[in-house]
Amino acid sequence: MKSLYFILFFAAISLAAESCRDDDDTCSTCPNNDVIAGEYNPQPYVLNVPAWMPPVPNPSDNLLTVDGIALGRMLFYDPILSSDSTLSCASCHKQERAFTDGLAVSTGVLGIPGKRSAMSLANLAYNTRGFFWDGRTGTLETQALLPVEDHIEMNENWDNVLQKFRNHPIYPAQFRKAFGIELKSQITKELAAKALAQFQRTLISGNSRYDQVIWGQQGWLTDQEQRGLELFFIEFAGDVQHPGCSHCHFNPLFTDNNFRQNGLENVPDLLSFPDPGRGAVSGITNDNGKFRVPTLRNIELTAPYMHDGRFATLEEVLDHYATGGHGVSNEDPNILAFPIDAQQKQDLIAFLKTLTDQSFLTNPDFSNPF
Amino acid sequence: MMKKIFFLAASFALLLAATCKEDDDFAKEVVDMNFKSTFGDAPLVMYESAYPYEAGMSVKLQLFQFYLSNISVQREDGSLVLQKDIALINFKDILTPSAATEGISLNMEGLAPGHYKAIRMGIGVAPNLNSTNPANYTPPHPLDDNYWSAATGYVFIKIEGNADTTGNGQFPAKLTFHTGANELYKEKTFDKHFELKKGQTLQLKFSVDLKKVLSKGPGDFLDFRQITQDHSNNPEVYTFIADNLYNALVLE
Repeated sequence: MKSLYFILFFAAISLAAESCRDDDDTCSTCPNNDVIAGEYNPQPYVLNVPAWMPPVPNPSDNLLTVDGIALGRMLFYDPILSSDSTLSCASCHKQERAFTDGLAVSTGVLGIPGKRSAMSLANLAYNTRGFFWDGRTGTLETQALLPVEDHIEMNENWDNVLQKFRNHPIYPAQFRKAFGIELKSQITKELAAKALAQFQRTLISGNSRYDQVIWGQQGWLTDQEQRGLELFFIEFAGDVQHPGCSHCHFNPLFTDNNFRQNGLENVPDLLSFPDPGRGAVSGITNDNGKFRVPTLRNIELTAPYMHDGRFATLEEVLDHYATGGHGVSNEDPNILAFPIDAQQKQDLIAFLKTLTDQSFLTNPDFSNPF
Repeated sequence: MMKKIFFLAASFALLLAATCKEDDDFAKEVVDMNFKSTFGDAPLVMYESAYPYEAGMSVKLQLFQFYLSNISVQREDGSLVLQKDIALINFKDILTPSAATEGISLNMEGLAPGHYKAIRMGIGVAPNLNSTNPANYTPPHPLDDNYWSAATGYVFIKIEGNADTTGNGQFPAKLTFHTGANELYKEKTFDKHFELKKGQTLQLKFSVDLKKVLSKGPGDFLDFRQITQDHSNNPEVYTFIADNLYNALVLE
């Protein structure tokens, strides 16, 4: 009878302990249980954005801190995340190109070309509808986990990366400063992803010449840029159809982050898209051929365009949209043919170039810390 | 003695376990405003379903959404209790008949138990909110989308899809009707006596027939052979849509 009481007693205590346990991913089997020396004194980071940009979401389970962002920035620029230490996040997301790489599709460590173009990282903090072109992850934290183990990207595995962190002369202390861990074995991929997410949340672009003129009331657009603005934002001039860009690319982010089938493919049916995009994630046939609407901020620098980089220039992009798509059944109804002459094309492109944000492209806080 | 120790320890442990759990044992009062959409008598399903329209035409839909503002519940004494300042009712993800039957739920919590006599809401974006823009809101928020830069306001109603205008089974005509302007904002009262009991979840069933938004009947409908889009350019069209939605939205 006594032993039954003992069993019940320990079962109850275990139940209580389990219910109070935090969901951490501490690596108890990892050999490196060295204590990390150094301070943990987290300083909240206040992200100042222009008044015309939305407040930046700051998830309560990964609040921005000075040291968290600093660690994220190091990880972003460090090729330690790739299997042969040749590729970092910044290899495909270069600041001077608004964090794209200028390639139709990026190439991973094995030299294998990927299937999609590197997206700009500007203003990802505001996206609540899913990351990558197909929205396959819901948060920046989960997004940051995937490229490391993707064979056509970094082709590494997280266990190796964690060992590299734990044996690194600097990173254990950086993880401690950012997250307060005490042992090297407590460095996890989730903490690395949190740091990367924190850094990426700071990549706010909202200080282009367009912003300065329209919201900051500083200076004027040229006549040509103003004509382009009207083509961009106003759907009709009398009975003449305008491009209607702002249906999907509206203020202040110049994207709605939704998934749309923008009429690129002339396919006989919904199962014939060369890249099903969103449909491969959702499993919904009518999502095939849909991709996330990218921001047009800094669009001048993010060529080539579309998810597969098929268009080298903005002129080609406008030529595509002017045709009004191909009439595939799930094509977005806002994709409508419109007349546009050479002058209007240049006007529209001149306007698009006002969305280039030099302060974003040269902000030292976003640059390589090494 | 051992027995006592066990019971004391077990009680302590269970108390500890209980304090670490979410506080979910106390049911709150919830008013579930459920919205369903139909096209005529058929449930409204995006993409796949073709619906007979006027004059031999048929339509398929990809998007039907509208904003509601200042959603309030009226007490028996006539006073209003504001529940939500803004909500977007969006049927774009209704892709199956079962999803259409289930509808879209908008839950209102925190309403005190008691007797009520009506629901009141504005159809569209109330002028004080329509003067804001997405920069005023931390995403996700109903007003972080559907902003109309050219009109410095929000698109209150969006209807998008395709039409077969010749009866040949093809749907080449793209339909985009985007409606919004302060003058189109209207408040509507839905009379309904109900009692919300302590801990109860009470469902209020709203429905909207999209066909009635596009058509008042033969001879008075949006003719997709003549017009396939409007972005609040043509007052005849946008007031037709806004007025019709006002009438088509009903509480069962």
